[in-house]
Amino acid sequence: MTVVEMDRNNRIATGTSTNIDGEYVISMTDAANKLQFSFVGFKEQILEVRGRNRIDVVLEEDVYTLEAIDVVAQKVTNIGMVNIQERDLAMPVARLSAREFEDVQASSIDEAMQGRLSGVDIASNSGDPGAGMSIRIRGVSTLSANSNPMIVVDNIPYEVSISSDFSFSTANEEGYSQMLNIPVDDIMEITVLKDAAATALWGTKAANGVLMITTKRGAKGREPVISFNYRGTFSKNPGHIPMLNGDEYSTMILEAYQNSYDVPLNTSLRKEFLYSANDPYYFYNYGANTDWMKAITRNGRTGNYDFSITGGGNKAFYRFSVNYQDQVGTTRGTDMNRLSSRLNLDYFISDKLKMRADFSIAHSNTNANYRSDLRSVAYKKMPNMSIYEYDAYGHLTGNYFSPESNAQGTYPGTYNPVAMANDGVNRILNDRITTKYSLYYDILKGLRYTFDISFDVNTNKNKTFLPQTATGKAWTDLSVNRAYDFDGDNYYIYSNNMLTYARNFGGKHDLSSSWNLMTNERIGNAYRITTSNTVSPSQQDPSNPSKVNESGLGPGSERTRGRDIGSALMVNYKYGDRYIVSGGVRYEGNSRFDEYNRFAWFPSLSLAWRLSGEEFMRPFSRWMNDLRFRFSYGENGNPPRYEGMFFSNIGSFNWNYLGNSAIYTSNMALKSLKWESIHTYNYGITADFFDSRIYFEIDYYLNKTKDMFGYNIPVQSSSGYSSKSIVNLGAMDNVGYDFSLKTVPVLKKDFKMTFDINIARNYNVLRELADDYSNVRNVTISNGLYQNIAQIDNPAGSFYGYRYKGVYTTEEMLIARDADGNKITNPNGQEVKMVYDFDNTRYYFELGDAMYEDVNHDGNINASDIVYLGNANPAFTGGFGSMISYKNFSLNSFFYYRYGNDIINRTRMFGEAMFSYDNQLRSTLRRWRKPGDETDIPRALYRTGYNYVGSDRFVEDGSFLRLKYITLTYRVPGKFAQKLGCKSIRVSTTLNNLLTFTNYSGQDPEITIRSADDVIYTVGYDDSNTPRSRDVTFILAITL
Amino acid sequence: MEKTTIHRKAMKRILNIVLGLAFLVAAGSCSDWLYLEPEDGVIVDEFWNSQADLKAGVMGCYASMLGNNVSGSLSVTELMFYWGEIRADMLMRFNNTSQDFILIWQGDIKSTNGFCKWNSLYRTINYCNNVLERAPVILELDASFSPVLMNQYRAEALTIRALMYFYLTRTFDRVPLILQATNSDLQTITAGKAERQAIWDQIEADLLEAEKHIPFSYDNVAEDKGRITKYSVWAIMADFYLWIEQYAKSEEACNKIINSGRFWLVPGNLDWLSNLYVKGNSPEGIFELQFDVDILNPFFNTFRTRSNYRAHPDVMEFFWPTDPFLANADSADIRGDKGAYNSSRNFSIWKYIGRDRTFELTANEATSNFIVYRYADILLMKAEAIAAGLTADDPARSKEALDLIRMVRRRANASALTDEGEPTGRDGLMMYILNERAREFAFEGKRWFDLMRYVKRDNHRNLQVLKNIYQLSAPPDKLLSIQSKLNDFNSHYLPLPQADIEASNSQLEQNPFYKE
Repeated sequence: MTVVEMDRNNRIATGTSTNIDGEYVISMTDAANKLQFSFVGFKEQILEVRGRNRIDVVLEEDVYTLEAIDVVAQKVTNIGMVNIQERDLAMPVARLSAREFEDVQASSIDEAMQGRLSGVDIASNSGDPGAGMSIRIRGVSTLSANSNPMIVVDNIPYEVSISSDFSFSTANEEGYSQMLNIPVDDIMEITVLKDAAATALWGTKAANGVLMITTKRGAKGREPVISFNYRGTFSKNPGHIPMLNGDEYSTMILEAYQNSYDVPLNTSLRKEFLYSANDPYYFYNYGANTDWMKAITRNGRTGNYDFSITGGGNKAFYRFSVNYQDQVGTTRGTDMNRLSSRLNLDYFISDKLKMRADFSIAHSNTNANYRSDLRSVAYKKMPNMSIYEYDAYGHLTGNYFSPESNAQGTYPGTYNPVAMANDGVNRILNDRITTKYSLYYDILKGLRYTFDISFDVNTNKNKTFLPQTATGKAWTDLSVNRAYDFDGDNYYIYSNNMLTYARNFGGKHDLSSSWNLMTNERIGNAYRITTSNTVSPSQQDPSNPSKVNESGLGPGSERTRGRDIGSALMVNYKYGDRYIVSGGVRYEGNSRFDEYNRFAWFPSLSLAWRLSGEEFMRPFSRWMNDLRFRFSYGENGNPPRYEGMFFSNIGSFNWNYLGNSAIYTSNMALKSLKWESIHTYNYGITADFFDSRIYFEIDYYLNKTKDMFGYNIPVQSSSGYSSKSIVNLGAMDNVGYDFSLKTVPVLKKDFKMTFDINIARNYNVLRELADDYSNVRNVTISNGLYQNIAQIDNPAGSFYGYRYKGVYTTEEMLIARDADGNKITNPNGQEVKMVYDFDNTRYYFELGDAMYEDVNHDGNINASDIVYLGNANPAFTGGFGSMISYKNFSLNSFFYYRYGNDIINRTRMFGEAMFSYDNQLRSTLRRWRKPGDETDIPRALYRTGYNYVGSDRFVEDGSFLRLKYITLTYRVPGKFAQKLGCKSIRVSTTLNNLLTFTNYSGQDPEITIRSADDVIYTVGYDDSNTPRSRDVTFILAITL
Repeated sequence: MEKTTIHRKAMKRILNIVLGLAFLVAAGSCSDWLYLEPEDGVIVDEFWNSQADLKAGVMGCYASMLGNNVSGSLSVTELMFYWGEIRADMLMRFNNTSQDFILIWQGDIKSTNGFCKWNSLYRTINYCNNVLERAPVILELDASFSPVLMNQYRAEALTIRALMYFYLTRTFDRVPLILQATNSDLQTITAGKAERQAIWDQIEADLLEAEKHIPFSYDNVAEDKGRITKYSVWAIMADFYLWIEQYAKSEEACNKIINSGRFWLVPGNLDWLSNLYVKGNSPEGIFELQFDVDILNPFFNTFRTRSNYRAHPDVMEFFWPTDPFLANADSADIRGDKGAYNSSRNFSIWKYIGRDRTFELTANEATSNFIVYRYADILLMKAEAIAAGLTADDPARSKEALDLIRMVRRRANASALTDEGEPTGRDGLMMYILNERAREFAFEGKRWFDLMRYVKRDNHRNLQVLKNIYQLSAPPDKLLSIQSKLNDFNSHYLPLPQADIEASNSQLEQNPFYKE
């Protein structure tokens, strides 16, 4: 038996246990304290001492008889530090609990969330391991296109990417966007805060919405539960678009050259097309039919192992987990593995004082390809080239065939992709240690003080190596055996002091309020070195003897530091379960601004009226659990991405002049930079009928972005600068609605079926643009380019170009005609031929050339014939799914869709260009070759003509419906499981991406929603990233 | 009783916390806490204090011409070359020619063409403007700094700025004339085109001001060639006055250099290539941009490693016709085969590749200077000033000009086949000079400007000469359209860069020929 001395607040002072005979001695610290006597299986007793020095106790056996008890539980939603009952929410919030994705193969939580939450658009950046995903909550609020939401893990902000001040010379940001090193199995619930009223507490980082992740924790009085999960996935090589083989390719090249210059290609100079056995070196090396894509792809697999132990006693709860994941990507040279562990502890020091400590450590190792354009280079690579080199006698040498230069040019334009995938190195080692400590102190009834502090260490090491075997460059060239080593350490320190007060007055009035002061500090240190020309491809570290003292090589370091501070006051008031008002105001300062714009106020207000709570609705209350109307308004803001923008800096040239050091002013001081502020209006209805058998939420919103940021905005270069890295550019609105419906059509003892659907629509409208911002990009367009116009009152991200009308097949068609169809003649009465850009290029169309619509009927195809072709914004996004469970079986399926967006199929654009020595798609076999041919693909023309100018030929409908997963689960009957010594056993199989319905001709309509160059203009460009593969997953979950 | 004390204690605790935090916010220490200067760099406000800072700034103006501290556009040196060559006849496409060049070659010049990007020149102009503005302030701050030295630094910046505007006006005609340093977004950044005369006046004023304060020498050969001296100011003046057709002033500037006696032609022997170009800073050099191992001459890479361009074989044959009576090619014009180009190596541009007449440099040895002005240029500019200034037949003056041409030819061992005899008239002399300059300065970024000077003289009377040069070099099917475009004199200038026009809030107007 345990004997414990407890003080007034039930804090343990001292303790002892009795011997086998039940005798004990305890020396008390305070005579006023009480003693607690307890033993497993008996009722505990607490006795006042009252000066006694001998207390005998007899414990009673603890026997309960359970009678019918009604358990009424209300879902509680965490909107950040304060939990609000879900039924009292006035703000738009979406929630996803772990149960909904526990049997689904997902390497990260964003993948698990995809399509499940209305208004949350998620698309993968590519199918490569660790490539990460992009998330947009209710559209894009800025022209800079990349606006991922804030992530909050267990009430502490979580920095997703490493400091953007760091410039990685070789790796692109994508490599680092691997979203969260949090295993899916550790997550209990994800809440998405969609509007500014909901995100107000979190301040400016939350302006794009907040994703709140709650991890699993231990619980009171539970014996340890040990669980083990295994997930194994096989990913089938998604294949690739068929390309020309070597023979077809050579034919096309020779034809293109002849078409352009009216002379045959001189194959004694371009021996790549000589095909003469008299020159065995060229004959063999350029006589192959290589499928380069096949050579760099493979089947992938993933193994995922989870172990966790959860439990808790009276005073302390714990959950400890370890996860290991090992993933092999479908592109050669890509893989990822990650080991992570997490310990969540709760300790009740007393009834008034509670402590929490969470530790998590993750170590991951991601291998990516040295060049992110590996796939597009492989697509384009000359198929008549051999992968491995033949010597001058025609013997295979076993070395990669990487000529320094050939028809296609030199590195980096082209290289041997197989050598690059196998020998190139791009390894990212990430270690992330996050620790958080929280203290909760209940000062008075209803009044609580909370203190959170968190230290987050995020270290990245990036090693890359560019082998000579892939580039074939001369040994003195600086790209030969180029080694790079980067070390970047980021530290985030977060603190939060908060007072919360909650009280019910007189039964009907519920008041809760909070005040907090939050600080963030970000510190980043990075160091990198680049060297080249190590003596052999096996010497991959810059520490080996190599060149350092040349332009572009050598060491570099960066240090950044940033801070912000914010204070918010929030009040919630509820009257009689019917009227809910909450409001607040936040004052925030950020080190990224100059003194005039450093601080800003952000107010918010939300209202809700529960119609179902009114007296006159009582007749319906049997089935109408909740029906409420919501309104919210809030303001929030975004700081710019970088620190220190308001300083003008002095930079040093990498070279001296006559031995003197030379400096320059490296940037313009951006002193007038302001917050990008976002004003949200949200109107919503929530309904819950028949005990959640039918539950729906519908929201209409208006997000107004003011002083919207634009990044890298060109300025007139006569200023001495080419661009401003960031400016307040204009205003943009996002209007739209989210709809989410959850139903349980069948609910029987052994048979349950659910059906959920969500739809979101977002209209994005540009409202204002700065005067000096060019709203047209590419005024004149040429091959491979579209015009982009940022039109006021129109959606951003629209494409403009010509209308493609097929191929000129008859001489008649080449004659220019006016609007009435009459032939246009020149002053001499001669017929005029159709011309491309009369004023400059003056290219007269010929048979077999692409025909563009002459919109103004002047016989001249130029900028005035450019028309609107489409835009990248989807009309609808969302998903639907159903879970059917029958006895021990359950079947879970989920569809994900995007509808109404256009994609520029750049893979096809450049794959049907027939303009250079690049390999082309198989569809070019249909090309126009001789008069009389009727086809939709123009003739091949080497480096001339205008056959692939931006036109609707390459703009395609990107709508798709994808069966994201279908899972069949079997729960082994409890009795049988117990025989095996387990509490429960679950096995399941998942098929991912099994079916995709789309009219899109490219590889995968699920293209990334971020833009490659940070400008919204290039959203919707499909550059053949690794497509999503079809996966089969087997899952085994055991609980002990 | 007990309860109230607990209350009081608790209240006091809360009060302390609240007050403590409120103090934090209120005391304004918060704003200081949020003021963070960058840790890994020097900010402008803390720089520009001493004469050493100013010198580093001046050196920055020079260094900025060598390469790009910001990627994405061609460096000043590269543009000096390309603007002088791409629209002329001597360059030809090779293995990896850029699409931009091919478009220009086909007469398809658009404002989006990469060769129209003038960014790096204006970048250098901004650095010069910074030096010009900071110099007087630093004189106040740094007691050890003398007004003489301050004026010398200013003179260097003024000359570089004038040189940049000279290139800009020759290439684009009217351009924005920016004379203030741009440092923050509070300034007006958009600017329209200045009048041609205003640009010329500014260049002249800057050069005249610089002439007053610039030294003759820095007592060090490399600095004398690599930094602005009186002689380089005069060289720019000579060129500039030729351009604005003030021939007497041009001749005067040339005379000042010639009479100084400090320059002479490098002998035209087997070491000519190596002495004049590879080693550099020869007695012939007047202003040479100084490349070294830290920043290699970009053209070796362009012409050798990347094979972007080569010499046009037909044009080479035109300027250096094969002499059937010469058995040994080495006794021919040193500037031709194995000088400017190399016929046995695919007509590669040997001037930037060769170590001497036989061997190549290696990539890391490509430290040759880029010669902006050299003595031969002065001699031929003087000849041109004399010839263009002739009003009537003046045998004595013609002879003077002819002697200058012959001086240059003699050094080069020029072939009798290219000897144009003794033209005495203005036209004959001007033609001779034009051709001789093509030979002497082949691939030195001069040819197009020479042609332009020649063509625009006398109200474009000699436009046909310009049209004719395309007969050898232009693609045959484009020849007619290229020639017809030249009839509009506005087409002789490049279009202003599209990105600038777009960013200018309609302040900047496209050049007339290229308007949509």
